[in-house]
Amino acid sequence: MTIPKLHIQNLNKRFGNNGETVIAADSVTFDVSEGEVLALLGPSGCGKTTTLRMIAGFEQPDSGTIAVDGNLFNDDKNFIRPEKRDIGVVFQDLALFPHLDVIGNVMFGLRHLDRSSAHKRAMEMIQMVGLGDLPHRKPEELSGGQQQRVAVARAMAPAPRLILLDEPFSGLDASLRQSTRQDIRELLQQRGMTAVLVTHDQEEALTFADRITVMRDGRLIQAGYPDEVYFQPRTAFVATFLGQTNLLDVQANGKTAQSALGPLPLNESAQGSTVVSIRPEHLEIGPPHADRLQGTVIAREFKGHDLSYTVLADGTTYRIHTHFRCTYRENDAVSIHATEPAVVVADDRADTVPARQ
Amino acid sequence: MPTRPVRRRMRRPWYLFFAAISVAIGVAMPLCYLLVRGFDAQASELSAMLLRWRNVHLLINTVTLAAAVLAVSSTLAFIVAWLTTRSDLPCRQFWLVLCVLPLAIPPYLMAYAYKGIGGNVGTMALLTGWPGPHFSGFVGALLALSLYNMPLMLLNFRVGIMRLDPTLEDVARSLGRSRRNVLWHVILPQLKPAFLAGALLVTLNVIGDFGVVSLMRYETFSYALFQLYEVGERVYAAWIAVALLGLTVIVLIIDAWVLHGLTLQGRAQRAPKPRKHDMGVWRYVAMLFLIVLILAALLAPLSTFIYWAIQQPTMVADAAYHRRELFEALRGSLIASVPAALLAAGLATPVAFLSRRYPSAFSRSTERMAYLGYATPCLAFALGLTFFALRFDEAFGIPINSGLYQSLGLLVYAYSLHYLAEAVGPIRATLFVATPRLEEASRSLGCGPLRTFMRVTFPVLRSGLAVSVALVFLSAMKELPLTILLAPIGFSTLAINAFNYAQEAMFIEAAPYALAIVAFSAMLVGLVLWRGEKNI
Repeated sequence: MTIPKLHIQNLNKRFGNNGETVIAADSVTFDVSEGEVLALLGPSGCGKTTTLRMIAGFEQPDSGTIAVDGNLFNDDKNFIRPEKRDIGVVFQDLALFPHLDVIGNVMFGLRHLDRSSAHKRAMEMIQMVGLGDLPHRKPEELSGGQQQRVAVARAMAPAPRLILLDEPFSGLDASLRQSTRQDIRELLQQRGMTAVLVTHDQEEALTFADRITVMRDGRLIQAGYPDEVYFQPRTAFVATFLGQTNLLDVQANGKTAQSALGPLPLNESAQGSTVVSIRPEHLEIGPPHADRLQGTVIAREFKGHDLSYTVLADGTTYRIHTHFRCTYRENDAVSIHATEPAVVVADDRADTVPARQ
Repeated sequence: MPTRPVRRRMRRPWYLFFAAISVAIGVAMPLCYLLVRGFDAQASELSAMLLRWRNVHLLINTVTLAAAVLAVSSTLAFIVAWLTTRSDLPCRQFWLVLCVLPLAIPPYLMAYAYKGIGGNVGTMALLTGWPGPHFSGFVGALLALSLYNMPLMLLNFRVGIMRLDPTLEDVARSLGRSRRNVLWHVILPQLKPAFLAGALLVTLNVIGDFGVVSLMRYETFSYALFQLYEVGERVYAAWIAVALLGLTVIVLIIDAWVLHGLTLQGRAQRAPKPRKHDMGVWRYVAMLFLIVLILAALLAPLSTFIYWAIQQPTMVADAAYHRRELFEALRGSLIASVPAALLAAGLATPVAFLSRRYPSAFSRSTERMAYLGYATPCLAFALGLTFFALRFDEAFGIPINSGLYQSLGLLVYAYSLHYLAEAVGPIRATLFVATPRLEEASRSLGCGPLRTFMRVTFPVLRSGLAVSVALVFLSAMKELPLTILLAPIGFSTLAINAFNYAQEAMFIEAAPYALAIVAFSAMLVGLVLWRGEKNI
């Protein structure tokens, strides 16, 4: 068995705040293999950043272990300090040293090299992120995207064993975010870097990471490849957090269920009262049809490449994504049916804690 | 599975805690000693002391002066602020700078200047043959204090006016309001926070003022306190100091109460540039107003000092002696102010650090203690320190004049605690830039805590520390009441000599000291303005 690059086992962490305890990590366990990019995805306050800070060594876990390349970072007796961990971090607010220029920032972590080779290495990194002609700019003289690149170059310059990215793209505006994300993704791939990305943006997690773990209230809910997690969410929370979905209460009997939509094939067997998720793109809208669920269009959103409908049927609203040629308007009578098996999910809607934005 | 107790994110280091708590004690202790000393008296004595008409008289005088100075200085300041931001007057920056510069003339020098201008032996009499008015009492104190405090209000009003969203005025006009109506119902209400910020400073300045009221012989609490102290009536002096403290606390409470519920102003986005009002013929009236104001607040005092200073070598018998005396005083000011500045910056660092990095009720209260030290009237603070020093020497059996009492160390300590708030500001501001992430970034790049402090924290804080040291140094150079009460016997500073000579109406002898103080104060004003632009 190969040793994973990063191995996290049973990590626990609580914060006491005026008598109120916040659970930031509850038996968190996961592995990241060499060269893999893992996203920790979850709403704010779910403990993802705390988990990242424990890996970096800025927080001490209450219990549990963190190991990189099989080297234990903490146990009951020892705690490896952040400066000894050889882990690069890119912070949400970037934290570029304001008193140092670009090259000074990138050279900061190269103390083990002599000056000239540190300089050479730093220049390489700066060129690699496309800032080769600005080595003597101060951080404040750079644009947001450029600052972002410096932060990445600084974290990668010492060739750390692992790189941690704490919502690093959230400060950028939408158009810049996508291109920067792509560039940095390529950079990580080129260098074969192992990385952990923390984000609350599901689109970012789906496009950036090789694998996703969804966190909520300090617990890992589901881990897997992006398409797996998207198409086979294990709980109602995961289904709603990753994109839009329709949650239906159904009566299951083996691989089929009785639902408002009529008999519904299921992705796995279940019995009795069950909650299923159907993505809006897995519903189809058509003319009124006696055998199908009938309803009325209450909203139509034209988005260019596709269309979203909200249909009210039997007191429930359904969200449906359709082809752009669909011509139904508000108040039209329509029918809806599912085109894919519904996904059985655990009902954790009641656990919902108000998001602390 | 072994479980550990709930851990906090980071515990505040004990040395920061210790430093901050010593600051709080340092400010609070002298004030407590005032009460200790005040209750030394017999009950019968006490009631005789407290139930005197004189106290009521002092209270009325102090409050009247404060209210009058506030009214005059804020009216003048609002007009200047308006003219220099919203009118189409030519050279607005030039007028503005000239109107801020009177801040470089400490109020006791302003008072000295006006005593030197008016009267039978004043410069006006010497130059024009017309004796001019004799400035003293309420009018004299009002004049000197208003001219000095006007720039403080001006700076606050100016920031307030510049932050106004001009589209609000457009909206009001489009809803049928006249220009005057807009001023009263749209602009002035929005300037309330700016006014309150300035008014707090001005009121505390007047209540705590000692030099002006002494020179103008206008009886306020401070004036009476010093007189009583001089004649050895220390218990009564302690009670007057307590009254001063009480008044300060009332002012702080009123300020907090009025400020409470006022939403902070500030425009969200960069609003369109405000249009400049066309002044028409009023332009000439406005310019005349500014010229008269600048003449009164800046040119008249300065030219008086310069005139007397030029006269000095020919009119004073022993010029060489006076030169030596001047250097001696300069040396005295330096050896008290330099260590005070360094100590203040040293004490301010943990206070600022705690409040930024480990916010808690504790860190907030230590920071408030620093501001309380600043707001406390100097004479009351100095008197408390004196009592404490005497008690301390007594307790350890140290013979008088070789212990704390009348020592240079006590003066340095008093300066640094009084000006601590000035030192906290810049360090706090630089700490805003330096997020804890910077230190964490350094740690993740392989630097230990000590190296991180040297390579990241200190360089980032350096500019703030330098500004703190400079602010406290320049403020201490011109400080009068603390110096007068706490300076060791025979120890002279620029401020002491300027005041003593002015007190004796020896205007010629006082002039070189006044000029030296103005030079240092001008640097302070420059620094404060520069800070405002750089946000340090």
